[in-house]
Amino acid sequence: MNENLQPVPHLSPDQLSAFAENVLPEHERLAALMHLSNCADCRQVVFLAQQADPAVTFSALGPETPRRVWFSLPQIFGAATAALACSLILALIVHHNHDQSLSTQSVATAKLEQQPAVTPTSPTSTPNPSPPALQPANPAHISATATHASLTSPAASVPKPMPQPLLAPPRSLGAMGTGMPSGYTAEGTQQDKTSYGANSAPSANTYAALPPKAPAGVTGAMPAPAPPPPPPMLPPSQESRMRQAATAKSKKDFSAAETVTVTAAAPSMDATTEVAADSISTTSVQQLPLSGRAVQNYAALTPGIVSTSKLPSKKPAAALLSSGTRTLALDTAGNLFLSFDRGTHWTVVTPQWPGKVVAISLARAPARLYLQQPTQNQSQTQSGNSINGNATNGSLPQQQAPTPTAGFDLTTATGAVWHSNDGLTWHAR
Amino acid sequence: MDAASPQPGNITLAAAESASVCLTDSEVPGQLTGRSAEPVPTSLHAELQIIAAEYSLTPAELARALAAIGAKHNFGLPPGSPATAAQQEKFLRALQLADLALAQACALGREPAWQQFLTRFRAPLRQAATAITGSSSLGEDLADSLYAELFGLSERAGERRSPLAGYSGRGSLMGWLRSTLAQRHVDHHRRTWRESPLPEPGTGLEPAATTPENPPKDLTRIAHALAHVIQQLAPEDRFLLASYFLDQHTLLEIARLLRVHEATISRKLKRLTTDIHKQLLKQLQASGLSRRAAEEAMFTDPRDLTLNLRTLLQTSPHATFQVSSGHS
Repeated sequence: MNENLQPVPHLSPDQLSAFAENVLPEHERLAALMHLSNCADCRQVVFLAQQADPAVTFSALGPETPRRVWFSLPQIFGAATAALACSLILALIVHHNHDQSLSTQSVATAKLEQQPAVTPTSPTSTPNPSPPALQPANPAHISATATHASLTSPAASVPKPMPQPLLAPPRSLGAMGTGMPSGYTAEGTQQDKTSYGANSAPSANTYAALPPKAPAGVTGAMPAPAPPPPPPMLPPSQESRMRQAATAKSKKDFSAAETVTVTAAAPSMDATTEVAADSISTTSVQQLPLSGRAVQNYAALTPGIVSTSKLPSKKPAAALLSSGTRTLALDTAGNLFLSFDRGTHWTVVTPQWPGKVVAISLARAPARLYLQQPTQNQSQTQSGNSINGNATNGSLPQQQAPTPTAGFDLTTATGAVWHSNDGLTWHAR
Repeated sequence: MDAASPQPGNITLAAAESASVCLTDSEVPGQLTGRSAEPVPTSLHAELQIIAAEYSLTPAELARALAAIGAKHNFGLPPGSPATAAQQEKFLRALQLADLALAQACALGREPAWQQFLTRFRAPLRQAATAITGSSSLGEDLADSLYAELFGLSERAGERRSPLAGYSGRGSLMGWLRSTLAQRHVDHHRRTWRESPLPEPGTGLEPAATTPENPPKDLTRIAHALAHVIQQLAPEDRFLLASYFLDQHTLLEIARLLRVHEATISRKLKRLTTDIHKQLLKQLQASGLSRRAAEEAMFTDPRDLTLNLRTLLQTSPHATFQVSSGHS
């Protein structure tokens, strides 16, 4: 204390310095704080002494309460994982509900189509006293109920194995015209292969030859698959007709693609316009209810879609062919590339021909291959081009197997045609 | 220098007899006469001998100073609490022994110690004085005057007294010197301010507003409620209010002094003002006002109140350097 100068006992310099350096015990610190809160002079002294200390900076401050880390790396990863899981679950639920609604429509369509076929051919048959209620959740049950009244063999009510995938690949997704960047193309997975581009070889199923506009009633941008071929002529017996109807119905029950065959009632050709190409405007594509309005991203999720945006030459693809697991791409510079994994990785095909390649095409299979009758499994797994044009992507009769593949052909600038079975080794035809 | 020669015999004998050094006033004449001697733990003997020899002190003198400091501050414990040997050793080891030995040697007038003192603290002391006064010339004057005072030119009862003898070693010696400089500067300012001429009428300080003799009853009630609420505040809260609102120190200055972050001071002040508002409402309701009337009373113009917050928050009438800007 400085009794000489201060009329009231103030804090000594020793206490003030110890307080400023935070080395006072707690009881002395509280006493010093009490005095400092009441004494403006001592407060001024301690602040002046603090101001004169050049070493006091924020970095030299005492232990500060550690700040809470709000977003650490594990938390971010955890949140991202949880969000991804929720998105997947939501997508699965939406997909499941969509499938159920499609199955319901399929059953209803099948019942409506079956009634006029059954009624006139079986006027004497005893009608079902209690028609089965429409139960969308159990299509097998509906199929069995619908065929019970007319089929004599109980084995006929057993649904046959599904001959088609549940959702047919959107074949014409790459043909969205102006709203679709070049770089994606649809590849037929089971029935056909597709090529597009200015220099593509003359093929029976290029995009220009696709069916015209999707008929009204089909939602979405993708055109509906072609209608199934009409049922073959049946013998006039009632049993045969009912068996055929049951077979068609069982197919409708299990194929979501066939549910869209409601469009069979619509005209197959649009008589109002002369345009044969199926193009959708950019505005229509941009207004699709897709997340991010990125239609091309959606296309990449579809099996059979091959991305050609990753060609080693960094140039756009002029033509793209696929035969089995091999995909052949021709860029605008005339370079040829081969992929074994649907466009993920490309291999440069060494030029074995003089001049520049201007077109590639699928080679026609030898005639002897047409005589072979592949099994059903082979017809499902084998991917080939339909040369004769009769086989479409609809439900094929078992006696009409897809045409087997026979390699690739290329046409050089001089008009020479070269052939290859594997896409790597080429020889002049 | 002869008086400062080491006396190892005393230490050895005392350590052998009682395992501690117990020095009496007759052994070491000096500044700490008249204080009760406390034993120093034997674990510090070797360290004390080294430090004492470095600053021209005898181990007995340093041990006696340590014992006096421990007894004065009760080894860091609240008054009345007996300190154990471990607590005593912890307290003594926490002291700045080198600075304490230098201060004690300087207080005893040892020339080598003064040379070391000037070597170490001459420039920092001048810089601190300049920073405190805001002027190099004033800073030099302040530092020179402090040198004379520290050397012990003043005498009491025939003995030379140096302020360095009051250094306890709990903080750094440089911090103690800065505090002493600031205190001397404040004292000097108060003395010179008293000698300053009175301001001209109409140009200087405005006369204090005359308080009405019979203030409204509501205002009196608010003043009493506010005084009661402020008096109930904790010391640290009162210190924050006074430093920020009365002394107008910045958040950064307060944060540096209290060794917390600036944002912490900001949050405390915000919470403090909110609590005061709530307590004031409660106090007004307790004094008989309805809640609506209390809330309306909170919108009273502070200029109508006759209370002085400075007098409520502190005993001193005003800050030293804020005479003209002091606000109520």
